[in-house]
Amino acid sequence: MLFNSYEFILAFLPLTLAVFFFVIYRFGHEPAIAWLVSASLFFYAWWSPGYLVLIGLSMLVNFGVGRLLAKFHSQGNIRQGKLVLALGVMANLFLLGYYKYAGFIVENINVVTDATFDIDPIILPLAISFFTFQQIAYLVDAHKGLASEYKFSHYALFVTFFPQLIAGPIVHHREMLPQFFRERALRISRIDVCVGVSIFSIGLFKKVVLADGVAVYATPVFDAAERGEEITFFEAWGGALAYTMQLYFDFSGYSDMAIGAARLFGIKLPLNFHSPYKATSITEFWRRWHMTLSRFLRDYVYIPLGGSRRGSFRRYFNLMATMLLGGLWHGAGWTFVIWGGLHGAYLAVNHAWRKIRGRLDPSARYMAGPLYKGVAWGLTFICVVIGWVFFRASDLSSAIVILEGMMGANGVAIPNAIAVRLGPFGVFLQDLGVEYYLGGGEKFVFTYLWVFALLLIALFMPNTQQIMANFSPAYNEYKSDSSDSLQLPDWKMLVWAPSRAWGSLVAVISAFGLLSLSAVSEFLYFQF
Amino acid sequence: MRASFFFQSWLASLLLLLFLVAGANYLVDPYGLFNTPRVTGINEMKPVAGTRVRVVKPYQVLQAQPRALIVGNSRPEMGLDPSHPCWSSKPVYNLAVPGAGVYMQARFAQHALVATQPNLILWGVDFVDFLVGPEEDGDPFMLPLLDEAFEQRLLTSPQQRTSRVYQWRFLKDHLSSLLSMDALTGSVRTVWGQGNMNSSNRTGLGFNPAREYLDIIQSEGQGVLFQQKRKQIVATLTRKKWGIYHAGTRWSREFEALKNAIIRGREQGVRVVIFINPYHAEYLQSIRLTGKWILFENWKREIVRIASEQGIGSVWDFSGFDRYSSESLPVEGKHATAMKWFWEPAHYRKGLGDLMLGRMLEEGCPGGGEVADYGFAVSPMNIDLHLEQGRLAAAEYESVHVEVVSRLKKLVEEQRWSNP
Repeated sequence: MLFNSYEFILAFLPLTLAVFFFVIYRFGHEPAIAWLVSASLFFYAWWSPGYLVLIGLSMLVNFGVGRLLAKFHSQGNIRQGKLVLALGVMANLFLLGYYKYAGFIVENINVVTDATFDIDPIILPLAISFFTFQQIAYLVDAHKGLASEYKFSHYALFVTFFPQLIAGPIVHHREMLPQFFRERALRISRIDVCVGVSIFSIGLFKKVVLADGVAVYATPVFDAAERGEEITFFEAWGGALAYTMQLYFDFSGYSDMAIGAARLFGIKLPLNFHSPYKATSITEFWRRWHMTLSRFLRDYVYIPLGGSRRGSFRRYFNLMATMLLGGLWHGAGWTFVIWGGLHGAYLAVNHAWRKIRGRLDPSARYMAGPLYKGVAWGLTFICVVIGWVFFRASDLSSAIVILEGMMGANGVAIPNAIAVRLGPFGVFLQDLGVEYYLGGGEKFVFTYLWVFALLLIALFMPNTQQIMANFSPAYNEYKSDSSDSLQLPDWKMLVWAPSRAWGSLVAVISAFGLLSLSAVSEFLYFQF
Repeated sequence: MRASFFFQSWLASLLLLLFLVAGANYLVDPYGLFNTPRVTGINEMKPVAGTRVRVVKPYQVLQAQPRALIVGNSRPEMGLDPSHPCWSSKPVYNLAVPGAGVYMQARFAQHALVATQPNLILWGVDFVDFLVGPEEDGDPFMLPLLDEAFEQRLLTSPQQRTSRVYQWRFLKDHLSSLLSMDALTGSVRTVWGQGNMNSSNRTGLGFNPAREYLDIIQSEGQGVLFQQKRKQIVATLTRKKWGIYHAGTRWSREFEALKNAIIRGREQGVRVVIFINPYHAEYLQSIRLTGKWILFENWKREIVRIASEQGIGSVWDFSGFDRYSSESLPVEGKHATAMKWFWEPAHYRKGLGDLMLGRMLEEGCPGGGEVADYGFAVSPMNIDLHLEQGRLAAAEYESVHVEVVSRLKKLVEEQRWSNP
């Protein structure tokens, strides 16, 4: 079931919530948890009931392995623990590998060896990347003694709790379960409902109004590239920038909706986004983009590889390996590998630059001003946009078609309808070699209007966490150095409070979201 | 408790907002779905209705309960005026759907005949709609799937069984026209756009005045419209090895759809008149220069054969080289001048449509309206002569309009080069 559907918003969510609190008052804790697990499984089964078996088996095995690991940990039996952990992680990776990468691997074996192996296309079970990672993290935590769970229903809730089941945030067992069992937990809290409704509404608005609104200017460009058409300069940039905005508002909207929906139940999920496009370095970008995935990759890949502890060469190598893996996690395709590799390289360059900068300008006198920051932001943003071209393109050749266009290899062209309205300036442009084409004037104007408007929002508006700051919207807070990002104008009036005025304002946002539901579209991150 | 202030205010404001939006959308009625009275300065023009034609027309035609129907694609939609004085019984509804193939046109007509009682159908047929690619197989049982969105809005299946999803779709379409962002922005654009007499529009009778072309003509010139369409036409005609039948048969789904629709009309006592839309001479020349003229003639023969076999008499052919289709383009640079009969090579203006109606609606306009010699009533008896005359007229056009022809030739060559 999609968060942005009538059936979820008008039926599933209110009904699940109401029954949940009714069961608590009437029957107590455990039945309420059982209800939440059943509702979550129903939510999952809405798409593909067949995969219930898969997620069920995966949970059973991991629960068992987790119990074993916890036992070894308490006995101090480290060697056996390590062995079981390795087996458990491998089992998870095998499951993910089979469903997500088998086709890709076979295809590449065929290319390399000229073989003609053939496997039937395997449909990717929904959310498998997310629940696999979440459970691997659980096993590692159990091995370290950071998590232990004795009740299967609790474990199942940790994995399937519907707000975070399909596309994150990727949560830790130790973040989630204690929340269900704290003192005042599982009692309906009016303030939680108000906060939850507000965050959910903001998320819905981001998804259905902003992301879906700009999507129509991104998709045709990438489709044209897939057909091998030549893309001119403004078209290519328009498409790439529109997708840049679409992806951000889509995924951060989704994450807000997850956080908001969980909050209705009194549960706080970890932050997933913190205005990533405000970042003035790629390192900072990754601290703010898909934060729970970055955290996972850092804690369970980068640091175990040695992190930065084994010299700078190993550090760059580790960064690259981590990001390549992160890329591959998004999908079985070379475009994702390149995207990951590109970001690995960006990060390595960024780290190297920091070292050099420290030597060039030790007191940070020259390289801290607004000009430096502006250039740093611009460079970061362009690097991110170029990355998204690979991320979005359906294959390598269409990514290259778009990038060629962005570099002006196919010339610069503007719609005739705009050119004739430019008067003498239009003639001047023509002298410069700008070409005119028929049709598409409205599309051209709206592409850039949308991109510009959304960029302003992404850069200068407070994000959901900042708006809701006084009511600790997420499990964790994000703080960074002021030099790491563009600074906000002072938006004091946009600090949420449970007042009548905010009630009406949120109602406007909710109404826009509800009214935009009629055009249903999936979340981009459901494919990963 | 402050939280309850928030919650009450949120819920009350939300419900109020949704109510206001629904009310505004009903009153402005941006798509013309609710048949709300059109008030000058508020909602008389429907600038966004063109985006919802396939959604609205199936419902609108039932509301209109027409005595006559116009069927076809975008050409008759913007050419034939349901308010023309020659119609003998009114109201008339223009059920033509832009971009619709023959099958869809037939299905719309079938739908209308289920719940309305027209006594006349004018059906404009279009050569390009009947083209069949070499790869398309001719399995007569391969009907288009019923889950196509437009099928859900029709009262019956192709086999005349009552639809099970129509009511649900009806409810959904009406609700989303009340409570959706698209409808709301549509309403705003509708009210906003009232000042512009040349905005896109659809009348309550399904007619598309197409005056938005005038804006383009004023700012960019009519040459631009021709230039763009010319390319499309040549590209379409050269894209495939077109035929009019499925490979190895004398049959196509399009002809079959037309035939079945005629039969169904006859069963209900409706007189069906088939006419071939006018094309500008440049369009006709493109057909010649891409080597499709014989195909074009054979297509006409098949249409005439079907019409006569089904007992509906002769077919009106307006697609010749004549003084209307030979209308020349305004001189370059003179932007504001618009052609009298055509918007671009593929779409004729209402003025020409009026002449056609004058000819076809003899009972309403005895003597053929303003011009008695426009169009040709083709039957199996006179078709050879008619086609022969057509060839002569074409040759004459070519000898007079050398420049136009050579420009088109170049375009065809370019297209062949890029699309061998």
